[in-house]
Amino acid sequence: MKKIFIVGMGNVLLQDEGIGIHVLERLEKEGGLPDEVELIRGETGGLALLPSLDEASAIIFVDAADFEGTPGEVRMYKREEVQKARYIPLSVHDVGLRDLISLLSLKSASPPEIMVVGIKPMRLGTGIQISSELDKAIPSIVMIIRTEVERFAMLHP
Amino acid sequence: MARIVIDPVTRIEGHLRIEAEVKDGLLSDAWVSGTMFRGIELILKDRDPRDAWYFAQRICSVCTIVHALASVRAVENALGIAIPENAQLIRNLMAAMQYVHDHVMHFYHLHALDWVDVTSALNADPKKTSQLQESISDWSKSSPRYFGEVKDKLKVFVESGQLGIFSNAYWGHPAYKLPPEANLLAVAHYLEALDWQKGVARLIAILGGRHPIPNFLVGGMATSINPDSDQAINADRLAFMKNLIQDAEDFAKKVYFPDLLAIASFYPDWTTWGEGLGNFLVYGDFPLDGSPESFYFPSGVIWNKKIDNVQPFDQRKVTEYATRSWYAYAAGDKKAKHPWEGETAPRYTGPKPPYEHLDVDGKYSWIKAPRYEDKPVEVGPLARALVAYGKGHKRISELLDDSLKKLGAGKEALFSTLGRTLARGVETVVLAEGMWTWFNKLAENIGRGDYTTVNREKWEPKTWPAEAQGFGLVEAPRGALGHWVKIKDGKIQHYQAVVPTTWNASPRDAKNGMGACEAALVGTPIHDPEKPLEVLRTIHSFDPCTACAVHLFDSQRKEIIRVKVQ
Repeated sequence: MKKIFIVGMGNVLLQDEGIGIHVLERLEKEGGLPDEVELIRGETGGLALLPSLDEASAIIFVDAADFEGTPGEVRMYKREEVQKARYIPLSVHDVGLRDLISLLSLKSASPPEIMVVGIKPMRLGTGIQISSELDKAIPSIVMIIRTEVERFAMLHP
Repeated sequence: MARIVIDPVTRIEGHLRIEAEVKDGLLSDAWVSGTMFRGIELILKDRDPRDAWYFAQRICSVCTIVHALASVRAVENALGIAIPENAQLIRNLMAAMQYVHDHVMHFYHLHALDWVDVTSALNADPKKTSQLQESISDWSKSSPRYFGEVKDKLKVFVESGQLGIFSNAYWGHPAYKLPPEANLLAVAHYLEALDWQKGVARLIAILGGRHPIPNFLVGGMATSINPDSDQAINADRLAFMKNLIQDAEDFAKKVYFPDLLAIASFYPDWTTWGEGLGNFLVYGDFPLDGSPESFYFPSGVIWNKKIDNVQPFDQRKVTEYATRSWYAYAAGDKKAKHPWEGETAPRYTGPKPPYEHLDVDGKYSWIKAPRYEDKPVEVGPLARALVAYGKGHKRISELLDDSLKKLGAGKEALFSTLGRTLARGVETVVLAEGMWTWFNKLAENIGRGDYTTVNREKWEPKTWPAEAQGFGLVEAPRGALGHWVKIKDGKIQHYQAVVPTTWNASPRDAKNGMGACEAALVGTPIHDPEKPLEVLRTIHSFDPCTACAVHLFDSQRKEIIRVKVQ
């Protein structure tokens, strides 16, 4: 099986903005992922994150995303959808996730498969606590990510 | 009169908005506004001072090293903790590597796109590009075949219709002056820089335990040195670090700096535009022994462009106004406050979004207005280069003189948009070279059996005074960065950070004095108000680390165009 990176994005000092990191920490704690899966704290890494992603065949970004919906709702985006998003709607902290994904395809002849797990935030104020709405959603987000990993493992044994 | 509005600048350190007026083809006035309140300082209250760096380094995710550094320095200053030499050397190496990385990435991935027309690179002759490369440096990747491959790659990317990173620029704008070959050369190095940064990440990970957000420690560094361990800095790792530093130096000297000079030579006008305030402030940094006298980048203040008369710097003269910012000071907003007495009480009085214009005659920004001796100043690479020049820093003076000669320009040219960009390149070279001093000293200490990286004498809060205050000053890649802390009964009672972008993107103050970016925009000719490429050139020369959306308004204040730019 080829390498899958799960990258948690976000700033943990801005409440729900850090949801990607909280989900990553839950995955870390629960364990039980195949050896080929690597968990990366992307935080708000932007371009500096690029070198860490070189060996991935697939990358799952977990990030807060702004879309019409209820807090805690999850929406999945593929590479094409991310690159088509001309302007903000994707990531609320806008660390250039779109740019990052774009550069991955400019850099390599066979860029990794990309999936963005976007989570609608409730609160984005200053503070280290996430909202109870998002806290409750973490188990289902983790489940979605595990399913994604299984799907990839089946497609690329 | 047309009004240009750039909003928002939506990167991690907050949102930046620029309103500017155009009169007779020139920018006649400008207002820079931070449109997002962060208040991360408030999170630090009541925390353990030893943990402050962890929160502080998340203030700006691009500058994780320098914020953590300012924080540990502030706490060490308050508690009177001296750090071991090895810790100083490791901090210097990490900060220097962050500079080299930031400046290279800023140049190719943000600023160069203001000067380099990526689409024109598709018309380049790879053979001529190869000749151009060989004429400017002895960088190994210079064959016509190599540039042919880069061109093909770019073609595929552009034709896929997913321009992505390149989709928001003014391609074809007549203000782009480079021949196609120079454009292709820059695109090739844009791509090379992406791979090159891997080495930077490795060095920072070795020294700081991880990347991109490394570990710090009050009293020294958490880095362990042990020649007998695979998990610590040992002889193998030192040898590896040596290669990484060499790679960083080579790229700075053989790729980035020659490219910068080659590109600059096509834009002589820009050595006359974008001057700004003429006042410069440098805290100084990269000490060899912890004392300001040993700074590799000397501290100082320059007034009114008088490079030959550098004044000493004193942190007590730093204050911040909130007169034109969305904050309320308890004793009123007319008076500026030193950061030890600073307040972060948000009081938004601006228009309800979405709005067309800010009330630029009143409060218009979330950024406070820092002042030195009550006057606005510019911070950053140009300030550092000028202070170093004025103080006779041998290597910086040599590189500046040599560059000006190559560009056929006089010293006056330094006070400009390109002057800022040149200074950034010069300090990258100087720091890449400087890393050897610190690396060799570290290796020498280890060779002597000195593995100490931390001073734990005052680790326990019971060793602290009941009350203490301190400051941590850092020269960050973007300029002077300061954290001020007050500690009471083992906890943080008060914390204020004044970041480089606060200085440079400052709004006006109580005396209506403009901030550095505002002043630098005034007087610049605008070729096409609908495509204000010139605004971006000057704003990017300050490296505010931002993506912007440009809205253009005509005199009836009607939105006529909206473009997103990087």
